[in-house]
Amino acid sequence: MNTEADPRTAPARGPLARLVDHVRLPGEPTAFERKHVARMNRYAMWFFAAHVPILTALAALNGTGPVAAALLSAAVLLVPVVALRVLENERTRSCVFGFTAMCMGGVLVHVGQGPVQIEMHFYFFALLAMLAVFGNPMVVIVGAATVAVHHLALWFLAPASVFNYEAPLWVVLVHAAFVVLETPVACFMARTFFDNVIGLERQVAARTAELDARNRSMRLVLDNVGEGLVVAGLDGTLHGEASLLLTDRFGPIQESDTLASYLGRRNEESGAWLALAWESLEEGFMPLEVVLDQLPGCLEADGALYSLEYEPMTGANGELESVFVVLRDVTAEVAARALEQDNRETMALFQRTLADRPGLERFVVESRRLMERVQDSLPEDAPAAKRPLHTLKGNAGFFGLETIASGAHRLETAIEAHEEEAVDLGLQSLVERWTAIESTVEDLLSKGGGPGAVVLGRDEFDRILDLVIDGAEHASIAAELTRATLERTSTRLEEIGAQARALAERLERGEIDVALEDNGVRLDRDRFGDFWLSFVHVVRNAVDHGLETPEERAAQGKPSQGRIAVRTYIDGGDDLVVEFSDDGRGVDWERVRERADALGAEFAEKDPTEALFASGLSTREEATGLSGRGVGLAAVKEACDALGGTIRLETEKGSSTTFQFRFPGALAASGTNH
Amino acid sequence: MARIIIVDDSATMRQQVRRALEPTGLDIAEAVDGQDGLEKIIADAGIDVVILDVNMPRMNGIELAEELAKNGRIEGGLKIVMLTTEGHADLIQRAKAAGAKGWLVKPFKPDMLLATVEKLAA
Repeated sequence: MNTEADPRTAPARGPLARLVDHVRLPGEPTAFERKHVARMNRYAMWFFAAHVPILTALAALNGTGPVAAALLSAAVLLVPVVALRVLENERTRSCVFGFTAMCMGGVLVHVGQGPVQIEMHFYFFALLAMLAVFGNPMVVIVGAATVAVHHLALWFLAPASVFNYEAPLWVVLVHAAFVVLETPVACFMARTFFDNVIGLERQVAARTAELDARNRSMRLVLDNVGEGLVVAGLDGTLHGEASLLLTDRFGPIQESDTLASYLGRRNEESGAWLALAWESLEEGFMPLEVVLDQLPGCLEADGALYSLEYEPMTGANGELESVFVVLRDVTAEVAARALEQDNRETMALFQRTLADRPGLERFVVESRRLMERVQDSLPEDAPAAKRPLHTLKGNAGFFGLETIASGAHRLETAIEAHEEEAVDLGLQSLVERWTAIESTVEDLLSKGGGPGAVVLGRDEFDRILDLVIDGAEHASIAAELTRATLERTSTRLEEIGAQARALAERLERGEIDVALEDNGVRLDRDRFGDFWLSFVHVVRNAVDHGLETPEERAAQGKPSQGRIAVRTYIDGGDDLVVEFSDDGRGVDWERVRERADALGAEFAEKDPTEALFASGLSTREEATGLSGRGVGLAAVKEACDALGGTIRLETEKGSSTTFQFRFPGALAASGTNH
Repeated sequence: MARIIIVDDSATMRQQVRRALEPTGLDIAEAVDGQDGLEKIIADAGIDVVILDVNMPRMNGIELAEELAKNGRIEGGLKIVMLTTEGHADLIQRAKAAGAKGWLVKPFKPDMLLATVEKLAA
């Protein structure tokens, strides 16, 4: 762990250390610094090279020995010449010029002997200040040290070379005092120059790196975010960068692109709406919220579906400046929702086939007729389509078919608004959806084998197999197989049981106990179809009128679960018997009597059992939608009569009701016999 | 006091627009198609907002807007709000070229129509 990097844990640095930090330049020279210092070093080289002829000429003019001046200055110049060859670091090379500068100053003071020799000392101070140009305090320090050594040494060894009089030591110290005064300031200037001019590049580089890092992370975000993000100005032009999803799906953004032109390349219609909306944003006639509300909320492009959201961005003065646009690929989501809806509806239909198969069959027949009426009336006679559409909407809603209900609703709206195109589209999609529903229903209704399928129970299969293995007569095997083409009553009994359970749940009778017993009976599907369809009324009657609520049952000391038993069996050779019983409250004969009397003489004369099965009688004050319309048991009787059957009713007040339907010779009529 | 006219061949739509604009307390007239609308607007100089359906018998909404531009009513300050179904941006562009200021997509939200009319009528 680098503790020094953390100012909270780093030890406080002393003034000396800080002074050293100030004098010593930090880090490695940057390219910019190297270039600057190399240029300064080059200039210095030429500057000091020029000293050789000038000092020689001065010595000649002053009569102070031009040859010695030439040799001395050339010797001084030799140091940087060698240093430039040997040293690599431009900073170190500059330090050499600190030394060279002061030596040249020394040569000038030497050749300047005479009346102005003291004035020649100005040159030391001028040079010391000039050394700041290297932007390196160390160069100034080297210069100051050089001049200190030079003065002390020559004052001691060759005073004439420095002073034109016999100067005492304190004069040397006065000179030194000026140097000491100038040096820190020159150092400060050099360092400031380094930090703020030469080092500017370093600062810029640091800031740039910081910005780059931020841009990189922003780009990383834009490249990985799942949404298409972009900002559009009031004129529609796209500002700055867009996220990858957008450029990936919609291509690169051209300089002149507006949101409308950019997205319009993939979907012309959406592009036209966007152009229209942006024009309205810019004009400002319409309220902002109205324009934003009407921007296209979704967009289809290349088979994908996108949702679009818009976030207005206001400037400091609260005025709209731009709009942040978020685009999401919702293809999978929409497909999943549609599938989910489809599944939900299929499930609803499936439950219907279990709970109320005849009801569903009737619904399909009726809806098909309504659809035909709608299609016949549209588009010419639109008003005539409204009534069947409305009925369809209601029925579909009742059967859990949301898509049909909403489709019918949309079509109704379009008809009311006289929007021909919308009517066309609405009808088309409604028909498509209806066709899909119809085929689902057909699949469900034919579940467990369609009309053409022959279904064998395991027991029946084993029996036929035994006949074959035992070498039974072909006639008897054929009879068994023919019998298998008939419908097993077990299928119907299961449906009846499911209907009873579903009804009991809906009517809050709680869970009920259902006992089924088919005794292997098979019947002709077509002959008995109507009878089974009407059987739902027996179920409704039993659950709605017969069975009590669990609380009522408990109060009467009965088991809280109501019980329903349904069985088919063969009696007396070839009489088919279908028996349905419940352990509910039994038939309220008094009530039946009252209702029959209230309905008039025709009913009053009937025997109570007959009255119960007569059309128009219901013991209920109000129809519940399930039972009470007085048509149910009459329909059962009608179906039973059509098959030559009889009904017997056994009921005991408070404990049970049993309907027994007997069809004499039914099995013989079905073509075969158990 | 501003006066509004609803030009739409659908009685249901006229009813919906009227209901949406009731809170303005403004006087609302109705016309059953473009021709009817043109006659009523020309006859009544006090009308200053037109809620205009696009698709109508006899004279459609675009033609009506163009007529109103021709006889100087739009220049005179008549504000037109177009009502159209989705998929007809080009028709709105034509109506805007004639001078229509606002547009709403059917089925419109009542508060959006109200906000638009209030802003234009102000």
